[in-house]
Amino acid sequence: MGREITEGASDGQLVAAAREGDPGALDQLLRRHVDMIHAVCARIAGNPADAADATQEALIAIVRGLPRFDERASVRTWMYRVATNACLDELRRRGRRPVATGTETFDRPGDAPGLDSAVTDRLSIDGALARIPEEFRVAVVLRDVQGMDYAQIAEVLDVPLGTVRSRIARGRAALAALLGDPDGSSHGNSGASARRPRERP
Amino acid sequence: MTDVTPPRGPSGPSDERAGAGDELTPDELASGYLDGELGPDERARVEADDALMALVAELRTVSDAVASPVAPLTDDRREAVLAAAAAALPAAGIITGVSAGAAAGTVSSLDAARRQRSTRLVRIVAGGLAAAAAVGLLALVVTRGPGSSDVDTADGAAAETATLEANAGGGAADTTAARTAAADAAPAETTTPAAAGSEAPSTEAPAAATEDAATSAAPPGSSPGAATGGALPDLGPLANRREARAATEAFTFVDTLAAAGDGPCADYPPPVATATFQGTPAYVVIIETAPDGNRLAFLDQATCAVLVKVDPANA
Repeated sequence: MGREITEGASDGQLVAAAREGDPGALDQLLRRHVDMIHAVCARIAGNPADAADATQEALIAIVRGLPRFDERASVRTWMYRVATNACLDELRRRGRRPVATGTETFDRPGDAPGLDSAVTDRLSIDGALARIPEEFRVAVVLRDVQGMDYAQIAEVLDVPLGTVRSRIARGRAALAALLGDPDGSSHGNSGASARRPRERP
Repeated sequence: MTDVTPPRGPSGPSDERAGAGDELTPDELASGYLDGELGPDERARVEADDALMALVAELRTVSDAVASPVAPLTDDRREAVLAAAAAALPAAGIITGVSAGAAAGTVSSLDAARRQRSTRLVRIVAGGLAAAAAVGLLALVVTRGPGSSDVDTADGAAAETATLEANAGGGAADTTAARTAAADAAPAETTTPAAAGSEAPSTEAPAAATEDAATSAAPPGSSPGAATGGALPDLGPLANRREARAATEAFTFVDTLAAAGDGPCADYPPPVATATFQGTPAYVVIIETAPDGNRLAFLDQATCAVLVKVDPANA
């Protein structure tokens, strides 16, 4: 302790100070990220109550992980890795979310209502996110909510970059299918060709 | 199709990409284009293809929707979350020199809270079941008569189940549990199908502990006991969580929690009410009891999926 932490301190400086026992630095670090972590957890969780609880668990996990942070990854990457896992763990403990298996295919109905109106409904988004496989959901959320690029997401999730590309693409395609078909009537294992009605270019 | 090299960064083999080759699927091309993650050749290819550009537009709509703002934490909840995290600092082995001891005593991991709550709930449920069994047996002794074999069988089964569950709960019959059991006897009995079909006048004999504001504030004829034993009160159409919370205020401090599996949704306790949440017929269930207010959930009557949760701590 003893070093003065200013408002403009970097995440790395705040982490270092927090690890030395500076509660002010920790507070500043957490306040800087709490809203974004909550947004990520909210989209992963799908409802505000679970999101708030998951956010709390995520921040606690970050604090508890401070002594083990080895600085091989950036602070931001490390924080979101810890937070994402904590959110998922919290939701798994609750055990009440629909869990997709990852083997589903998602049809895009040709005559379904347009996406523009469907996606304006937050419940539709959260409901659709809940129905896609967890690994797709997390990758899409980290990209679209957190704004991470594929390389950062690969680091957070510890998977190859090509896997990130695939998960985001498949996740979005699945969301498009679900949002265009809110009843899920065309949701099923109907084969890869049914997943994309338009001709491949 | 042109071979595609990942635009930047190391790229190991994908374990999920269709074909696992070098070619990107149309979804990957469109999605990568949207994210600025394609190389110049691939970008040009997408821009030259109307179908791919249409796919880009479709995925952009999805992406924008996912990125749309979520309901923020309330100020109070935000501060509570931050305080809980800060309190974990000593537990992380980091000495702050500032109220470390006090903070260590207030680490509020949900795990710890959940363990405490679970223990309490087990004791309440076990005690309640034991008391319900006792009341049921007493009723049998008093009311036994000709032609009552069906009822006897049902009550006997309920009593046996309750006894077994009470025993499984470690015989949690300390004085606190016993008091809770006595207080909860009538409502607990109404939550057991066998008991619900018995002659016990459960709705006419509410325990003193449950004759509180919850009962009086509930819709007419909708005491929790009645709700679980017979016709459920209907809270009507509700548009959002705020309305859901207001409508269920009567159930916030009901200190009973029936066992899961007795209601229409197997993973949840029997409903205490019905409602129509955002147009979807819903059951209202108490999923956790807590001193600061019960957590309730609205379940889709068709699928039992959670439509919304009502948490007083997150008001």
